[in-house]
Amino acid sequence: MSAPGASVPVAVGRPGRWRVVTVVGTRWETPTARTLHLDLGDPFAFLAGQHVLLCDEVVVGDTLEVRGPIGRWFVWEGDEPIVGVVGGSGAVPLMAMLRQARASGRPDLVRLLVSARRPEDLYYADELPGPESTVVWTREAPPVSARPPGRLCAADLAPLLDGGPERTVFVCGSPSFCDAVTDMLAELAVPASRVRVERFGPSR
Amino acid sequence: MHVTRGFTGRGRAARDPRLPPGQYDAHDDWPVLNAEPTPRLRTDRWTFTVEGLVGRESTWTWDEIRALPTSRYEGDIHCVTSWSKLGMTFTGVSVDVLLEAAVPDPAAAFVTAVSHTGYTANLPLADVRYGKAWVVWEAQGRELTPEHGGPARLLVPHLYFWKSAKWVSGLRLTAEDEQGFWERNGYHDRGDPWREQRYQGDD
Repeated sequence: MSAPGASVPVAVGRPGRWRVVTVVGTRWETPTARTLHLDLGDPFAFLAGQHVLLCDEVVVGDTLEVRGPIGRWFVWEGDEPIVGVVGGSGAVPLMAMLRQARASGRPDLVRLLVSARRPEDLYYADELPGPESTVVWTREAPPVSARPPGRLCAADLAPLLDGGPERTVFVCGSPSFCDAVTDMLAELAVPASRVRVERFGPSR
Repeated sequence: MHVTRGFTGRGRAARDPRLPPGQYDAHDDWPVLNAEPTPRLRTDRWTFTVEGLVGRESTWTWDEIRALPTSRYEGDIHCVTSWSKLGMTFTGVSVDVLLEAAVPDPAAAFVTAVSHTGYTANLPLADVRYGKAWVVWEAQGRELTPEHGGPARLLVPHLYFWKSAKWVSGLRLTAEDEQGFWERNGYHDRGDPWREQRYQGDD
């Protein structure tokens, strides 16, 4: 699939431009969210989310139809330094970017701040940790965490924006999370033109 | 072909004939989807301009546009992400009133809606004329809030709602179709929900 972060429409029984892909693996991320690993003939493609049908019904070996990728806006071309600020399952597109950065030997290009309520709600708990990522716990922090649990604030964001070139900031999460973060970015004098936002829409 | 379990049933309840194919009724929810920070615009600095292939480039301030004759749209809106809202009410000014002042050149065939944020959307000129489009500042009898495009947004309800540019700052008339923000990024140039013109390449 082209640049990491793009989304794909998924359907079954659609004619024409939709291409058929096979589900070759699945992995639970949280008690209610699952990642599907799709064989698209490319190195890797992951589809993640909490859609009840994708979580409860699809099994390895099933075929789905996808098209796209669409929305070539919330994507990273893999060569410029970026910051990601994500809440909950908003981690999905940024994890795709971080995966690519690590795979291409340039993990330094990505700085990621993840907001999660408590440890069992964290997406990619095994894959995410590294020098590129920081988790902010909002309700319950694990004992090793130095920061007391609390909502993400401008002081959490500021260190990610420091030093080096101006980074494009990708914000992904619920509408209220995105609004809170983009207001903080404005306070921190990040120009709106460097901020890309993807809010959770309703999923059906 | 094999159909994945679980993708078949959404019940056989009667479907509202106002819903285009692939859409569902969002009822009381009005989802907010935008790709950039929500701007906080001040009406004392707000302007709206009709420019490009026009006989008389025209700009209105907030007070000036609010003094124009108002009209209402009552009907449905359809988002490409598949929600629709039925029976909405919007108040504003018809785009016809604005175009009449600016006098479109006969060569003008397309229009780019431009926002104060830099967002753009392209439309055939015919889709914003003759009672089909408005610049609105009220939704459901209330002032349009910033997350829904306030102080004013374009309203072109017969097309998918990304064409109804939030925080609209003007219309630029052109002879050729010039792709806007989402159109460059994979979405359809026209976006007719009844023909399911969601993405580039749809008929």
